[in-house]
Amino acid sequence: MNRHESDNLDRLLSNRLKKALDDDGRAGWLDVRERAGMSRTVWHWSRARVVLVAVALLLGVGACAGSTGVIPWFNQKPSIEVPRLAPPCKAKNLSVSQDFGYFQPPGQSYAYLTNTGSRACSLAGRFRVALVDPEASEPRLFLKHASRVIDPLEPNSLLRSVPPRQEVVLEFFPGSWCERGSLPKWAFQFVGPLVGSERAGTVTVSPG
Amino acid sequence: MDRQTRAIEDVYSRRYQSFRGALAGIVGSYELAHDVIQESFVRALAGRNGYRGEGPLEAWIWKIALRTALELRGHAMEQPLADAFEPELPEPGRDEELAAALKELPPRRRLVVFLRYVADLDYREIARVCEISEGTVAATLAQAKAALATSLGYSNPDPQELREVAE
Repeated sequence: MNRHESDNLDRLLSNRLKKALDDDGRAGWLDVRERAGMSRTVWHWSRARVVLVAVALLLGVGACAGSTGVIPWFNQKPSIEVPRLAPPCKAKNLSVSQDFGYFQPPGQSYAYLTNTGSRACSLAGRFRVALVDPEASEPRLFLKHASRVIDPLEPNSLLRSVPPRQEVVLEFFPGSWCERGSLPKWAFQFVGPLVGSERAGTVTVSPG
Repeated sequence: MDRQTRAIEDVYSRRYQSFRGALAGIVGSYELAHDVIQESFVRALAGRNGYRGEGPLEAWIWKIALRTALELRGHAMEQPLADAFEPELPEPGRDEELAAALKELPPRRRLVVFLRYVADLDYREIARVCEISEGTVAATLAQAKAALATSLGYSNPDPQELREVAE
């Protein structure tokens, strides 16, 4: 038997033996590692398994933290002290100032309302702003726009009880009003919002 | 993971089926073969620092596997590995002619046949595993091959069959 024939015989025997011994058994390297005292490591896990474990850990930590107080503030909701609703601000206790320089269409404008009274009063709700003719025999509302008092810090609490000498800002949009050309003789009228059954006072500011 | 562990894992992942097939013939069943493989690789990992790189890593693990198989079967550990087993097909019905031909061989030749043709070890590796010389391996394998060729009718193999195998 020459070398070539011998090699072919090797292949024949190998193929036949492997075929007779073929088996679809499954390997288990992780089992080997565990038995050898090596812990399973995450880099051997599938991505889905890592994500599942991470989510489970997060949920577990959250649940533990909430129930055991490990994180004291975990289950606490931020407490905002909402002051009692004060009586509505009266016109005599409100001073209004406005920078008419801002009155440039189509921009917005601001009026500054200050509680000049000795007690806290409420400005919660929407104002109505009117452009009126103070020289007319009967003050004539020219246009009305609903506007709101803004307080970027605590809109829900400060407006319910504006302390004395506190200033709040009223935002409105005169830019969309008509007949702006006759503005110098017109005045702005701020009609306070309803608080309960009472309405805050009406304040008129004439252009200065 | 250290370099040795990676190398052992690499042998495991690449050669598991070869270990399984050859060991199934050596120990008599696939289930026992799997147990032997797992235990052998556990031992290989545990003793990886004892492997100094003398000879191929796979042969080193095979030697552990044969010793583990001996131990699991309750055989005396002093017995030379080359003569400790009587390999045969675990399911003779799958190739009765081959099973009968293997049974005609002395145990040592059968072991060398399994290590060469199923485990794909070369002469040097078989020599290390069985603790015999390479010359003995070559002679043993040549005798086994000749006997198998005769038993299986490969003395004058069909040229067509040889061509198919070669391809």
